[in-house]
Amino acid sequence: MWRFFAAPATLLILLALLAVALVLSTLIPQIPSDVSANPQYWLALQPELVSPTNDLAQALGLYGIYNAFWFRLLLVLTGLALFVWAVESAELAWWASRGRWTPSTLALWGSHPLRYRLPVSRAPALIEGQLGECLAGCGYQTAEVARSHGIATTPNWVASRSSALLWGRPLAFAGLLLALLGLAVTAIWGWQSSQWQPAVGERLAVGHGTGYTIRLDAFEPLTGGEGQPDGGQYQSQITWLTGDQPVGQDLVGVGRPATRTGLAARQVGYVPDVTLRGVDQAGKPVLFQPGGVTSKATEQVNLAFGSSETQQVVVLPDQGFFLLLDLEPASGGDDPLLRLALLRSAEAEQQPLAVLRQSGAVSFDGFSLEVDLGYRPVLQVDYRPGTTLVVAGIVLAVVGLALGWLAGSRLVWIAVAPDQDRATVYLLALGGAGESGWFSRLVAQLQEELTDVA
Amino acid sequence: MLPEAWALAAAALLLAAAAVVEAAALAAGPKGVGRWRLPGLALIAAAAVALVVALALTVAAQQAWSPFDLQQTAIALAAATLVIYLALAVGLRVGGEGLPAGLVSLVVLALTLFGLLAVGSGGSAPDILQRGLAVQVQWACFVLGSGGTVVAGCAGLALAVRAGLIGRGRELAWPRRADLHHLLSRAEVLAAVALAAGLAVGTWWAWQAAGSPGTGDPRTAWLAAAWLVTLMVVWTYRLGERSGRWAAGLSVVAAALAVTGLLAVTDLRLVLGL
Repeated sequence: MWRFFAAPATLLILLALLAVALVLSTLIPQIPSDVSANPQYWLALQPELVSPTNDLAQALGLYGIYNAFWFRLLLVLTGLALFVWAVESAELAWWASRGRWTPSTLALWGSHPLRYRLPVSRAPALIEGQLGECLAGCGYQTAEVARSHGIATTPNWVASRSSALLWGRPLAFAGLLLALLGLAVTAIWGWQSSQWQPAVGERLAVGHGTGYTIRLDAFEPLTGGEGQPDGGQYQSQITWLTGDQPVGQDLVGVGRPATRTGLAARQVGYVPDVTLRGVDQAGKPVLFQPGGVTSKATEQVNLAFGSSETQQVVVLPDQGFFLLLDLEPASGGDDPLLRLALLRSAEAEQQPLAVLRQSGAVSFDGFSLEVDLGYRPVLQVDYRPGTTLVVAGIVLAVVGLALGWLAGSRLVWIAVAPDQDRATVYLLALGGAGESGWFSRLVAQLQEELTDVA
Repeated sequence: MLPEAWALAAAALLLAAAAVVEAAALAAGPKGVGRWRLPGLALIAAAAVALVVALALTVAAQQAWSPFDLQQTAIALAAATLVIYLALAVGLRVGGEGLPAGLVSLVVLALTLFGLLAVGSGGSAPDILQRGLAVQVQWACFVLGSGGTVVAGCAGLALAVRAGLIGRGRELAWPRRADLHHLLSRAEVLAAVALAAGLAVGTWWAWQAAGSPGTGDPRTAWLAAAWLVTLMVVWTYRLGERSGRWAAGLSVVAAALAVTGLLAVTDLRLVLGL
């Protein structure tokens, strides 16, 4: 099993499959998280490739690749391969930093090291000294390989240059492994609340055994004009409660979550919010019934337009007609546009009442309505225990790769074998980042020096 | 014509001239290649300056650098590719003059023409989550990394052309195989580092802002795939003697993924009806 994961082809194939999965996830529509409760309806709207009638797509989970069993298996196998590579490269770096090599450590150089055979027309004893001088002249440090007891072996050396930088390799592998572990930890123990669009004063019980409740105290745009966020910065003030007892207050902004014992409250957006109140011909407050006849009628109604909502209907139960509110989202720096229309029960045609970009009053048939246009935050609470591991892992991988880029380390295993009255020098190189030019240059230099000696 | 269009047109002419000079250098054979080296590099350097000027003018016209403006991204990628090539070939003396320089000129010429003729300036306005400094840094790293993959891809393509044509017909000034591999590996590791840095910054920001490891931008997934393929190139050394062909082939794949990811994913999805 160890050999399987240590084989270069294994890791390369796993990385290739991951790359293919990433590309596929952008070409095949992926099920959004907000419809995961009822995916069949969403699937029915998709192209043939992912529709419920496509059994293969269903079986492979192509509509949710990141949650598919085969993708997770791929991540697990990649993690195992990275672990094996991290251990092997760390062992190699350890031996290189100690400079004490044994014949068994040659196995760490992989099954396909770069190799060269250099015949020299002199006896081994005569060329050993010259070989050492030549390597020292090229900036290499040489260490003799310890010979096994009772076994007569030919002289072996390991020549190294910048061997400390070999630690960059295990660092890169360990970093990637750490990032994968972080993703796994987050997937297993992490959770995320559905998006919450509170009015000021509303509360959300966080749940998941935390005992916390969050209350929205205020929402304010920071840079928008005329009270509209207008795509600028905005922030919410929240209070953390346990039961009814406040335990802390925080400001939540874009990219500035409020955290408490591992929980994070994030500001992920905002939505337009319309408040209606008014009086009739007699000066009595008008009753509003939002969202159909099942809801309770109130003297003031507060309507939040979700990101995909553009129309809301309010019933005026005592009057027997409906108010239609059409919202055109903000675009190009303009404020959202609210169109108010009246729909009488007995008539099919709408009667336009007003077009508003800001709060204002609307009068019709003796009624006087006040319309307040405002905004609500979209908040989300989540617990992501593996975040730090993921980012730290990628940073470690960057550092490891950068170390290898700045100055590649070089390791050459040299064996001098007697061949009657001549010798053959065997050279094995640990390749680095696909670069073998230095090895060719070293071989050429050794060939020249040893030929001169001969 | 707008000032940035003039700068782009100048860059395109300089790149076309550089490609012609590099072709002449290749045809001159091993003995005559020397006299073409300096003019070729000078033309590429001048084109890089023209592209940087074009990028600055485009940014000034739009009043901000935006990774969501396809024209700015194409010009930035073209400029980054040339700067990386010059830094490696001249600054670090990695080698790779001649054929790879000609291929780099041609690819960057295509990117320049894409920025000049195929796309207009502007693009969708970034929302508040996309306007943070972290997003700017992320995409700067992505452009740099993609430039690295393009240089490595050109070196890989040069290796393939060299392997296919060397020894046939008249003697050309083929670059040394070791030099091409050196250029390929240096550019690919630079790309791997830059793309990983972009992914790290992007992941951190997505987590801060949205509580998820990604923002759902399909371009990021393509660039992550390009990063995985660059890692494959970097680690093909474990394949020993067989690594050269794999590295060359994979470097071309990584470059294709990076360029498509940066410039064409949205259109590709539209073409496929997604």
